[in-house]
Amino acid sequence: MVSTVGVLAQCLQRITAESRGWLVPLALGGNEVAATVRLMTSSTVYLSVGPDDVVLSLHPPRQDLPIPRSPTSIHLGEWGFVSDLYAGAPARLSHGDLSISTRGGDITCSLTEAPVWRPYRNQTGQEFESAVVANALEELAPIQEARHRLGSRVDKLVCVLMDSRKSLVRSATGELQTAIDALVGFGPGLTPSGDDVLVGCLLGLTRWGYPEAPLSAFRAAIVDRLRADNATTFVGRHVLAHACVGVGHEAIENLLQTPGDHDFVGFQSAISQLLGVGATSGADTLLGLRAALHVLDPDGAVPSRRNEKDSR
Amino acid sequence: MTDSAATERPIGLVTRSSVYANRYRDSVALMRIAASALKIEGVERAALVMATEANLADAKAQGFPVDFTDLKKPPTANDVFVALSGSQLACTNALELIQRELEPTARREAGGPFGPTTEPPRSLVAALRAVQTEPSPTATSAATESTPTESAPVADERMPKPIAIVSVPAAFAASEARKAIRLGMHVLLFSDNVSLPDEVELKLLARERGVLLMGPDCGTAMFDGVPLGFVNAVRRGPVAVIGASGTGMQEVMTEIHYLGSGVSQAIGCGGRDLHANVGASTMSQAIGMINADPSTEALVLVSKPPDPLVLQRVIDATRPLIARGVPVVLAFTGLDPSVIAGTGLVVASSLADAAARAVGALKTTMRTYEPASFATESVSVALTGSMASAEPHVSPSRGDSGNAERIVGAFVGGTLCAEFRYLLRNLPSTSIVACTDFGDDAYTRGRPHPMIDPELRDKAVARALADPDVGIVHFDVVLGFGASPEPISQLRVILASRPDATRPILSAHVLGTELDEQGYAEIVRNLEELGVHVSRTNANAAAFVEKMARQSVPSAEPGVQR
Repeated sequence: MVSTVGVLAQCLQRITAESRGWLVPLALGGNEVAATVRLMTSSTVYLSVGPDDVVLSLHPPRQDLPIPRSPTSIHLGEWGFVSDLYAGAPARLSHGDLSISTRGGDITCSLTEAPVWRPYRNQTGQEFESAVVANALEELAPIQEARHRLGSRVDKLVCVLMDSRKSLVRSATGELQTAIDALVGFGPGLTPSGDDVLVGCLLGLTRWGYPEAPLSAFRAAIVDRLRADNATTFVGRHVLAHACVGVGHEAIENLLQTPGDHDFVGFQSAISQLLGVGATSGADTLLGLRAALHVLDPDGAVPSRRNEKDSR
Repeated sequence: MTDSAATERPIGLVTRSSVYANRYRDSVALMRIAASALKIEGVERAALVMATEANLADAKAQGFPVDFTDLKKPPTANDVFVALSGSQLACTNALELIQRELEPTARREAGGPFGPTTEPPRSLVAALRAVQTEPSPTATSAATESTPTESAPVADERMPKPIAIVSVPAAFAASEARKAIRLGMHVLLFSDNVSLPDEVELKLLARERGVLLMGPDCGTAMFDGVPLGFVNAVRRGPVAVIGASGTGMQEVMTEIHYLGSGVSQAIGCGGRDLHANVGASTMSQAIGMINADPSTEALVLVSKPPDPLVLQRVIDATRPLIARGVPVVLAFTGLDPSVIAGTGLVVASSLADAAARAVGALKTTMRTYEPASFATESVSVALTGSMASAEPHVSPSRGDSGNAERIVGAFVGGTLCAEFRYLLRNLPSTSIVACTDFGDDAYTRGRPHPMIDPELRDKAVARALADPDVGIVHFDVVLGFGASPEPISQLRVILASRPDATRPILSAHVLGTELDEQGYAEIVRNLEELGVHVSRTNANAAAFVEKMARQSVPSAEPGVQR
């Protein structure tokens, strides 16, 4: 399962001008890949694909449901078949087509006709005043809730990452692994809160200039933790694998591309979009981004303690 | 389900753990189920999480049994793990409750609008089909009772179109509402965080299809006595309420009830309906419906002050009612009465005043109920809108030596919060008023609305009690359908933990009626026993707080009454 990261990295290399999900290039390459329906919600069908259990998520037409896209999500043109789906249903990816066995018979979707989305990869974040962004995040009630959920685990990660940055020689690999092990798979949700925090923190550090050496150690520690079968849920594993190759879903990417101090409206809008992801995932991811800012700028990212929403 | 062996602890309590394979629920649902389990007497701790190694290790560290090696199939990260501690009996009861909640068939066994044995519909189309083939009392009562004749003009505008209640995460809400509108259903869009462009588009579509889109973020409606969402139990009567504010409507409705009258219809529009871009689309449609409703003799409109052009649209929509002699009262907090001069509309000074003015304008006024506990609060205060004439009862347990310069308000009702703030606008500038609406979007993402789970309000009250700079603490308690069945259970613990002499002055507004299931009189009595001054209306509460603040703080401003 750990090779999920490797598979995603390979797919990343094969994307050219456009992306309809990273799995599509594989299918277009002529490979036949077996898949299985894992979970269905009103807006998402999760399939695990291939021997590495890479997750492909299917969604209703985007004009009906503008949920954040990810490199492995595809908005289909038709969604009625979902009522006939069941968990465990076999599926197959072949030559750009996805075939799924349903109670009402087999259906086939052409993935090559799926809407195009190009993830913002290999880009660095905009220049911004980290304290402005950090304080804006700090004042969000959902982030305070997320801190309560995660307890001291996030603080420990921040401390270790700050130490790693200060001294590459005294690289506390063991401490880093312990801090990451404490977060992977921890907390409520199909994507456990700890996974979302790590995704936010890792992507924040990646885009905002954390040194490559400790960043590699951070990624390696996550990959190492994912070797254990029950480290986290299959969706948690999926989002962590994405973060390890440097990509988040659309809501995270939009936030990372928005300089908080120069485009406050856009920044607030991006935060709002991210908070709308999942029940707790968005807030947990923001907590991770907040942790990354603290690692990068411990003096500037001083939390403000304003609790009241309004005063006069 | 697989159940690990219970572990007996030295103090006589047990810990229990269970695993439910492939029973995923989102984290809000899992937290809600855990909260329900915690309410069972004797349960100390309850947690529901995915059975990842980290979560199992955390549970083990907290003393929960996580040894599942004897079981045929060890838990995987995709199973739900349940951990409980408490008395043996309580844990057993809690596990039963959790199993029921996690069981896919639980809801259909428990019954519902489609009967106890029928598979609940899984789509709007299926629900519509079910309603049309076997009408449910809830969905169609308004149609069967209130459509006087087939040729009456009301028939097309109102029922028998079914009402779809859409309560899904924000990202999916517009899509579901759109589907329902296209199917010809009125929609009560409970979900919040729907974008303004989506709202505009949905309301245009609803107009085209001749149906109402109530919302987004609409939690209150009542059609011919059938409550939808957060509504108090009020008697039926001749006053209709249309509002862009849930708790504002509830305040008006309960006061109408208290004044002896009743409510014909209540139609929520969503908090942004009077926004310039939306243009009071739903409110003007709803006013048209009320104009055709023979059971309505007076109308109250509730909102924040709208954009001038939108206000004109509302005024235009009310003209047919005014022409028929139906009194229309505006409860638009902060609206300057001069801007509607000559329109025939009445401007109220507060939500309670709006109710009083509407009831006072009825040709026949019912007065059947006057609870004794509020006998000292004069109804004439609300009728005249003069807060200065109120003589609130001051709790004898308040800390007279407290510094009342800082006033903290912790609200579950957004409009109550806004009105409270507005009514205290004339306090001396030395008084600092910090009011928080815990029902705001920022506080409700990923967690239930505080009317369902008032934890955030309770924590805010606890913080304020411990803050030596706070002189007065005010909070609201909202009762009724949909609200927490035990809205002050934690507050009682918090308030009882602070000695009377050292804490700030306490004020509460209990929004409810004696018909509400939570037990209005008992809640008022409990709060009063804990030294809280309880007001029936938000306006009276603001008057009380203002009076206390003026008594405590020497005014620095000339001409301000002390």
